[in-house]
Amino acid sequence: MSAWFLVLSSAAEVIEGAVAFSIYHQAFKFYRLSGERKLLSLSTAFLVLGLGLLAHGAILAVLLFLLRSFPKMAFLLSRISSWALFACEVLAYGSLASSYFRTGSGEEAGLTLIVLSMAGAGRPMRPELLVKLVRYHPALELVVLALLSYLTYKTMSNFLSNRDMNPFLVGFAFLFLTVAHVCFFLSYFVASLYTTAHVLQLLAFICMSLMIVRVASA
Amino acid sequence: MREKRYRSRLRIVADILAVLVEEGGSAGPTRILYGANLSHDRLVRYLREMEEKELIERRNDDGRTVYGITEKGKRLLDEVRKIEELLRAFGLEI
Repeated sequence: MSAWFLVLSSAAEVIEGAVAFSIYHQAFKFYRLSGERKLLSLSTAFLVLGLGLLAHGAILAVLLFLLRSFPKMAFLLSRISSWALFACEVLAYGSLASSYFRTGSGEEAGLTLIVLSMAGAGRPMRPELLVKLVRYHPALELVVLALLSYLTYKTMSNFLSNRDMNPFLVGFAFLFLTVAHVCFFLSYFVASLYTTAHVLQLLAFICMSLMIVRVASA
Repeated sequence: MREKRYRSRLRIVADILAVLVEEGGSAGPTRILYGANLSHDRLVRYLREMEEKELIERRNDDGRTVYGITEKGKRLLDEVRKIEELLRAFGLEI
């Protein structure tokens, strides 16, 4: 259970991170040409998001090997990378949201014990426990969700007033991201939603990459 | 109260280049002035700057001055259109 779970998470996040980097690359190239500050915000947001996703994805791959032999270290790494991912997502989505404004615990200790005892006993972990291991706290998920809801509202409004393909792709990308994070939030309680969340997040990044290909080849 | 919006320098340069393309590659200062919606002083300043940067070239056509878009100008306009497309996808503007 834990192996495919970690492989899925790791692969999805590495792909999503690579797409985020391609958007950063294009936006930064345009920023250097134009000096437009909105492009700097856009490129910074996707650079930070790409870094967060790639780093978290890579650490999940490392966890695959560490979990059985060094569970304590695996837990520590997982906590650090989850916090880093949260910080990157808040920074990235916050930076994007600010572009629109300009135009307009105890539980952890308990979890450590459970992870260590189960890994030590060599038993497969419950899916809910794995979600708790690889994701940040659901309360933090709500912060990301609030930012994404705002971005979905802005980009969908833009699509509804434009009715064009690229605004459609960006609007739906943020819609998928928001629903994905609702699933990430719920996966804390119903672990099967974790896979759905990653599929939706991948779909969001596929929409983004289609948009960037269309822009670059226009 | 309606918000007053200012065009960025890049937006103005792109508007001037777009007028030249719409007019078949070259146009006189009056046509550019109306097409790009600029005052005379600002137009003169922008045309001089764009000529220095080789985005446009000044020619004499039967005794009257016309400005033509250069290859460099066309490439810049293409890039600006891509930039606009990217920002428009996110609901942002130059």
